[in-house]
Amino acid sequence: MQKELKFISETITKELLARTGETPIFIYKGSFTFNTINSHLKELKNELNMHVSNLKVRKRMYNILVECLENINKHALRFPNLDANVGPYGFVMITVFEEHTYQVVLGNFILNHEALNHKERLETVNNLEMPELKDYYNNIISNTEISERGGAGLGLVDMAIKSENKLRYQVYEYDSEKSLFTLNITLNETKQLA
Amino acid sequence: MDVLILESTENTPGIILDHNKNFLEFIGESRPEDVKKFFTPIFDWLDTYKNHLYFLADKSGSTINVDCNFKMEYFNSSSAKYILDLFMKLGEINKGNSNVNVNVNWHYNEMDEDMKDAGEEFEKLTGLKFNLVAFA
Repeated sequence: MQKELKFISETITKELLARTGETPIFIYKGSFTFNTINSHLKELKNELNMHVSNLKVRKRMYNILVECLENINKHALRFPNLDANVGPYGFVMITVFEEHTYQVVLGNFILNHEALNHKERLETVNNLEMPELKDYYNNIISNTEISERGGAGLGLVDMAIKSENKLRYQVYEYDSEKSLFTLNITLNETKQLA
Repeated sequence: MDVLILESTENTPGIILDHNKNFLEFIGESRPEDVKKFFTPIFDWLDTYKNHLYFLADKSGSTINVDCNFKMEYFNSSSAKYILDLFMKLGEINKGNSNVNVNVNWHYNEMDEDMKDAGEEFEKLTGLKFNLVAFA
């Protein structure tokens, strides 16, 4: 997995270079097991309690982080040569711009042929404005069944509602089979409190 | 049937399902590792409770009030699906017997408008009457 981790590190560097003026406040790369998620969420919850005073913004940020971390744990590509106790590989990074705008970036490996499906799902969400997004959420929650992987298909829609921003994505091709898919969620505190 | 009590953990809510007191309570955070495994015993309990109420209402003839308290701090999107299904089940219980009244008390922090909205959306989707209770 050294090659994959090196590729993740290089991608984080590229993502950081594209973020002039933003300060990284949290970066984790590696395996995403449920225990990893739990320990990081505990740490992040404490950080949010210390640094984000408004309850609504703090809870929305926590909400987005849970969905991001669980998304990698449940849906990212699992490498067949890994031990069953090791989770999928990926990364999560949080940056802050001028104390009021948070960017959460998550990245995980997907099969190349799945990229189009991922893009289409994101475009569907991005093409909806807030009232339509809420209707879309209600439609999914009322009609969907929980998948084998334990997801309800609501995570992306929920992140778009909570962030009040479009979800940006990027595909970094790793080899002929796999790519690192990154998702960028922006939460602007001033906009949230307007 | 037995009273079902689950202690809260850092990722699962504290739950009390008490048929003797007709009292149901959910408090805390919900993001279980296996959401289906966590919620299945709760739905099994509700199915048994529905039958229990059917016979109880028939026997007593008087109105039975079922008090359901929800004081959730956070729930993830897959838990949201199960919570909606849970309200659907409570809606069936409410509709299925004219002698049974299901009262849902949805508690939320007065600063947490998303949790208030969630209660309003569940109310809209299920048709159950929610009592929205703000706390400081």
